[in-house]
Amino acid sequence: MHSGGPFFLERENEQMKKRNFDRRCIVRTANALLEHYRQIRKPPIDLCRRHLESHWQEIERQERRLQKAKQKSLTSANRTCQKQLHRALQRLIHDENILVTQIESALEPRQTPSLRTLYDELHTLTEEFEHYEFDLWTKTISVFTDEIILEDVNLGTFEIRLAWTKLREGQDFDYEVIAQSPNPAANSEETIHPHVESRSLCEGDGSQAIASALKQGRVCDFFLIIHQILKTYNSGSAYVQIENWSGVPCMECGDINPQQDCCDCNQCEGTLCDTCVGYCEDCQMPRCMECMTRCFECESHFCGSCVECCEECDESFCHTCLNEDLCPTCLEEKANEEENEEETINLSKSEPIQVPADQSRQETDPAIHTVCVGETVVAS
Amino acid sequence: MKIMYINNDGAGFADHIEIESGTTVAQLFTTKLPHGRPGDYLIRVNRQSTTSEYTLQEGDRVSITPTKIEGAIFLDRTNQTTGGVWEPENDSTHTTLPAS
Repeated sequence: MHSGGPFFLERENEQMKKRNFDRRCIVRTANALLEHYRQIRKPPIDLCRRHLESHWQEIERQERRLQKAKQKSLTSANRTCQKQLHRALQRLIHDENILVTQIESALEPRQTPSLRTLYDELHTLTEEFEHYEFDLWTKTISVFTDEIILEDVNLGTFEIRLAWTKLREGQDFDYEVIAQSPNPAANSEETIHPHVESRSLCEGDGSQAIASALKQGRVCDFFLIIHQILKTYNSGSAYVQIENWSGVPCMECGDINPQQDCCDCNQCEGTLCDTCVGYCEDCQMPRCMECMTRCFECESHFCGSCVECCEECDESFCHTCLNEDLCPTCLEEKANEEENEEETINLSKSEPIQVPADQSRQETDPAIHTVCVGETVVAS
Repeated sequence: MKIMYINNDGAGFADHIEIESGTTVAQLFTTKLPHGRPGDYLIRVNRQSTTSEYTLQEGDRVSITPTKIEGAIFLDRTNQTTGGVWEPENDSTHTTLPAS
C-alpha cells in the first residue's frame, strides 16, 4: 500500500488499467493465432507425385537414347547419354528425398500449440522487448528493437513484423524487417542492414531455428532469433560490407564516396573517386594513374592501347605524335641523316676539276685514265 | 526428472528430456553445449532470466538462444530441379526396338 496519497493511487490505477489492457490484448492475439494454427493445412502430396512422374519420363527417354547410341556404336553419344541419364537419376533421387520429408511431415500429428502456450509466449514477448504491437486488424505482431550498431555504424531501430494474413500458397507465416529510421547502404537504398534487403532478412544460420519456432508456436523465440541475427554481422556474406556502408574507398586518395559517384579503372578495376579518375586522351576510357602512360612528346595521358613505342628511342608516344613509327625527334634525325647523304651524293656528281694544258697533254700519253671520280694524275 | 529443453542453436531442438534431480542450469548447459560459452547465449528458465546456480525443477522449461546468429546470402535453390519443358520426342529418341 502506497502512502503517497491520491497521486500514487491514481498512478497505480493507471498502471493496473494498462496491465489489464495488455492482458486482454494478449489473450485476443493468442486466440487469433490459435485460430490460424488450426487452419494451417498440410501441403498436398499429389503435386509432388506429378513432379516425380516427369522425372521418370525423362529417365525412360534417356534410356532409349542410350540404347540407340549403343546400337549404332556411337561412342561419344553413348558417353553423353550416360551422363544425362545419370543426371536425370540424381534429380529423381533428390526430389524423392524431398517427397519423403514432406510425407513424413504430413504423417506426423500436427501439434497445434495450446492457447496457454501462445499466451505465455506473447506475454514473454512483452517482457523481452520494450516496444511491441499486436494488431488484430492487420493480423500482425510487431516488436521494435533498440538501435542496432554494427562496427560503429548505427543502422537505427528496426521493426520485426510477423503476419498471418495475405500469405502465399503453402506459406504459414510471413515476416518483414522494417527500418524505423533508415540508414541504408550508400549504393543501395533497399539494403537497410548488411543482411536485409527489400525488408527481407537473409536468415543464414537461423533459418531452421526460425522455422522450428514458428511451427511449434514459440513466437517469442522467433522474434529473439531474428533480433540476434540483426545484431550479428557476418562479413563473409553481406549484401553490402559494413566497411563500405557509407561508400567505397578510392584506391588513390582513400576517401569514402558513394558507389554511384565512383568508377572503376578499365584496366585494373580499382575504384576511383571523381577527383582521382583519369581518362585516356584518345579513347576516353577511365583509368587510374598507374594504368596510364604519358606521351613523351605532348605529355598527355593515354591508356596502354593508345600509345606505341618509337622504333628508335623506344619511348612511348601517342598515335598523333608518332609518325611512321618514329617520334618527332627521331624522325627529324632521320630526315637530317638522309639530307646529309643526299648532299654527299650531290657533291660527288658536280663538274670535274680543270687541269693545266701541259698536264692535259701528258694526260694524252698513255695517260692514266681517271678511274675514280675526283682522282687526277699525280705528276711523278 | 523431465524438463522441457529448447535449443535455438543450429537446426533447433525442442523436446522433453530427462535430467538428474539437482541439476543446475550451469550443469545442463555444460552437458548440452560442452563447447559453448554461457555468455554467448540467452538462457531462460520458464521464460525468465535466471542464474547459473538455479536448480532445475520437474517440468521446468529451459530455452537457450545464441546471441550471435549469422545471417547470410544464399542462392535460391528451390527451382534447381525445375527447368524448361523436356525436349519432345523425336527420331533420335524414339526407339524402333521390339519390346522385350
